[in-house]
Amino acid sequence: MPGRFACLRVPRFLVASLLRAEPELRGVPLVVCDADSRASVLDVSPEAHRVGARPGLTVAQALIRHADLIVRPLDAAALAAARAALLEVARSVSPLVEEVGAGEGADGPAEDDARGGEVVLDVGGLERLFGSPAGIAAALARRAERVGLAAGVGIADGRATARIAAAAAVARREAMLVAPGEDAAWLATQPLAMLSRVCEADLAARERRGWAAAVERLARLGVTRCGELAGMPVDEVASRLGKGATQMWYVAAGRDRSPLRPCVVPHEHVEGTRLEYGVGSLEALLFVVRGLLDRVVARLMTASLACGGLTLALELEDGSRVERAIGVLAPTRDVKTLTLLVRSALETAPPHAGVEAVHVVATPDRPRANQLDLFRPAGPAPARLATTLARLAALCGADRVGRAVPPAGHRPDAFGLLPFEGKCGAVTPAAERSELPLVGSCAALALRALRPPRVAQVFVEAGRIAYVRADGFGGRAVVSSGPWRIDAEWWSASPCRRDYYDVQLSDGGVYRLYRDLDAGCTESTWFVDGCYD
Amino acid sequence: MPIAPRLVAELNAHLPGAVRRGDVPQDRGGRERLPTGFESLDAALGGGLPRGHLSEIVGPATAGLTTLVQRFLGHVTGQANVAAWVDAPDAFDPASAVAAGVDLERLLWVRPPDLATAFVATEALLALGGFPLVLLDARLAACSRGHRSTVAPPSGERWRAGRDRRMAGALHVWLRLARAAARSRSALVVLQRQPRGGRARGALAAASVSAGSSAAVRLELEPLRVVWDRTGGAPTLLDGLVAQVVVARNRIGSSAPSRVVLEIL
Repeated sequence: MPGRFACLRVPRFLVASLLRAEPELRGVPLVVCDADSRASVLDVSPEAHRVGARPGLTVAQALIRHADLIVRPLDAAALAAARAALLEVARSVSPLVEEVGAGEGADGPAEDDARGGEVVLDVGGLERLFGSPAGIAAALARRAERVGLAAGVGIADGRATARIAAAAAVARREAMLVAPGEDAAWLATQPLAMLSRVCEADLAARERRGWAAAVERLARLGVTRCGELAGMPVDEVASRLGKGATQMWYVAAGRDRSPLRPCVVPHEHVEGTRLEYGVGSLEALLFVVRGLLDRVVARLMTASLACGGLTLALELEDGSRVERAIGVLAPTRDVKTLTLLVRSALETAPPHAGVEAVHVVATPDRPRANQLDLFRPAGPAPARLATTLARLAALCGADRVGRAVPPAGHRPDAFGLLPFEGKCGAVTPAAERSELPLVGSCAALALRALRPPRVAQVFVEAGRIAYVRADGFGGRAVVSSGPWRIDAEWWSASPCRRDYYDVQLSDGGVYRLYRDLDAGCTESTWFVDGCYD
Repeated sequence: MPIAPRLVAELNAHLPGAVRRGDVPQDRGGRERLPTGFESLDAALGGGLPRGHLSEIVGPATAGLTTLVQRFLGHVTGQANVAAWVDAPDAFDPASAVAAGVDLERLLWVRPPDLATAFVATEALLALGGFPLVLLDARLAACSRGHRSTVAPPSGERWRAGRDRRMAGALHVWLRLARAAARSRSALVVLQRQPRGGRARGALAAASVSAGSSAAVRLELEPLRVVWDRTGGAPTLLDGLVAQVVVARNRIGSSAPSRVVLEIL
């Protein structure tokens, strides 16, 4: 059974990667130049092409043709992010993905269409998921647009035919779907030059020259369409025009069966950009970061994932590099929340010099899901809960939001905090729940904890507590109860030996006091750690 | 007589109140109640604290306010609901909560660094929805005086002007929270400190700005006596507390003030 391939092709990929990072440049005559020398033009936007700018010119030559050209150096980080985004789009449709001609745009000047970011994927059998080839093409184009790339989609039986179809789709601005078994018939009407241009990315430099020479010789013979080449006897083509023309014949005849070379799609989602000058203001930096987060979240959404963690890498003017790991309490896709987390991290420890380049690495995680119960109340929606938790963590601190859990040790004032998951479903019977240690004489009254415990002055008369004074309250002891001794963690380096007392003061309050039996003579030994309420 | 009404009549005769129209909700306009777990208080409130409204509970230290609220929380989480506790003074004690029957897996505990953040966190939780009960502990005074300097009042004229501004700002905040509670159909319960036997003054007044007219229900707790067990020469034990709950305001129930005595033993 013949395979079925789709090709996703983004024309003028260097410009497309830059426009993805700076959408405000859309519609202007834009020229991308070499990042190091800034002398030669690598790629041009359609608007710049209309006013005469071409890849291969020097920047000075291009500016002579049109003085209002916007010249931007090649942003390697933005280019890498765009390539990764294109791969992820393809990966979201099919697990078998091949990146074609990786790095061809950055290597040097070439014909404009040949510089497109291009991905081929195996779509055999995917009609059952997407309904039809048109459904597959629409899904690919829609997802590419969601990550900021306008791509042409071609689908055919052969890998090379799919690539030629994608090139034709870019020119026609609509998906090109070649019906099964119709590769040869569709290719027959296509210009030979297009076949050569599209397929040259697969070839080594020597083979590429051979193909170009064969096309030139065929053109002199009046052979300009693929169908005309395919109509010739292949052995005659081989003997008269050489190996390059023979390979071309197989493609033109729709007999290309070159296999897909699957690549590994990276697990981390990285977005980055290099700034024109060092940025020292937090607001300006956050503006840039917000754009990066927008794009990285769009990529995560394409793969039906959420952001489970962030790493912010900053390249500074003094040549140093700073990395900040930013914890996300619950996987989220909310850019506002993630920006808040980044702001909080930057405010806590601002970079010591101007920022020249920013990279955001998102760790993907599965969004939370919840199985609803027919007979019990539904809690908060998992996705919105995750976003709210992340926002609360940014506001209050990640260690201050969650659900309390029994402490690992035996200290009465200890507790743990775990991420809150909004548990639904059956109620745990009270008898089966973890019990926490209660210290003191009363289980009926709840305790309001004082964190940290207040240092207290306690006056003892005839072995009984007579007066208590602490920050914020104090008075004569009316009734006292205790001591209730605990001797916990005696095996550890920081044992906890305390005598607890419940004391009702003349101000009406009942407080829980303890005397630290391990405190030295110079340290305070009495503390108030709660008030019964 | 048509067969359907006859069947309904027969069923009602055998099982009174068992057959009701399915298309008419029993409780409309956000008047659903969350029972507190104290029968006498629920009776005085008309079934419990209302969902979709702001309720304010005030009381001095050792008036049983925390115990009342934790038992309420235990009742709510015991019915498979989730709840949130926004703990501005960072005074929530998990051990006491478990003893009061709270299922900690269903309780989101938020410990904001100050009162302003607590308001923002509460509003975010109400906007999220899905929490039948959101508790905001706004008691930052007395026992928690050393917690944050934001509540310490300046002196003299400057203090009075600052207090007015805070009051105006706070009123705005309570209105926002009350509206957010109405939208999410959550019961928003705000805990406030009140000094013994009178109005708040000084630092206490600056720290606890009442929800005022934004509160649909206002409960005032007054401690009557602390109960100690001193029987038989055994060590003295703290047994519990007897407190009085005054339903000072109940806009969506009986308007007459009522008093309930709670024995927390």
